[in-house]
Amino acid sequence: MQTTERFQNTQSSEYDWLIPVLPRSRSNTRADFDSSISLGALGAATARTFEQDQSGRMFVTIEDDPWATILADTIELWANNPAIFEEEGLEAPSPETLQKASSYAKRMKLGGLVAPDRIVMDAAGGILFELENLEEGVRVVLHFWDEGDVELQTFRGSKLVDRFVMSTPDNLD
Amino acid sequence: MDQGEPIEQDELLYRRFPLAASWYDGINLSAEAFGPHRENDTSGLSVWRANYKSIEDAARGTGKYGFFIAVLRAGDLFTRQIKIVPKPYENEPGHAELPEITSYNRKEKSTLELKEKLKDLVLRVEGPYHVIESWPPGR
Repeated sequence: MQTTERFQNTQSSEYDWLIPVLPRSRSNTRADFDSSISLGALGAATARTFEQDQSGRMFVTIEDDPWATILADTIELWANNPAIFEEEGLEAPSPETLQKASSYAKRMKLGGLVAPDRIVMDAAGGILFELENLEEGVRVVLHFWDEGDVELQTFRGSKLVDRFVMSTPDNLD
Repeated sequence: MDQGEPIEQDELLYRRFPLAASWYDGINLSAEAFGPHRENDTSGLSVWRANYKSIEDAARGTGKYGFFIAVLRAGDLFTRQIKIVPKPYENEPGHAELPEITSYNRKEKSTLELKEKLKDLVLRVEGPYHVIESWPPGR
């Protein structure tokens, strides 16, 4: 059924690059911890609902949209107010870093991944999506470094137990 | 300039960071409050010694949205084998640095973990101080 295939394609390929659970997707920076926590393990938003219209087309609706609020308070605010980076101790993220973080957020939202607890900048022009307590004491950070690489880091307490560089698609908008 | 008085166990240390960074939301503190600047923290991360400076003076930075102060106790850092060295300079005898966090090693595993440790050692966050314009801008 065409509509189902559309839906399945959305779930199984378009967003697979966001769910790097396969060993082949790990970089050499992988730590010696076989973590079950990854971006894919964040799970789908529980408020997601599925609907079909009269022609049988399937739609996915996300009832709650924490993404919209968090993006308005961070990335969009930073992009529209570059003067804030004149504050001591801060360096402005480049337009490329802002765009990449925004594109990731858009894809993560459409892919049904939970929104981060907060989005913060680092002091060097990078951006972080921070997710707390995915398991007790486990914290996951998606770090958009100023130099362009995007890294998924998993902390257990203060210990960095896993880190690897994401493979970002070339056509990410 | 001499190397300054040795740092005592019970000394309080102040780490200043800008409100505009969104590293503190009133409840949660991000470890990025202990992240080094790409160019300005070449020899270590700056902190201020409470024995030399009031918290209001330590919070005096360049900017208009104000600054928070994360308060640490030196002995807590020593217990975790985190180094702190006095680094006084002209008219700033209470300046000190954490030499293990620099602009050069900001992506290393040890640095990322040290930032997390420091966040966990924060006694309290005070401020914001010296707010000239309200945050966020344009609202």
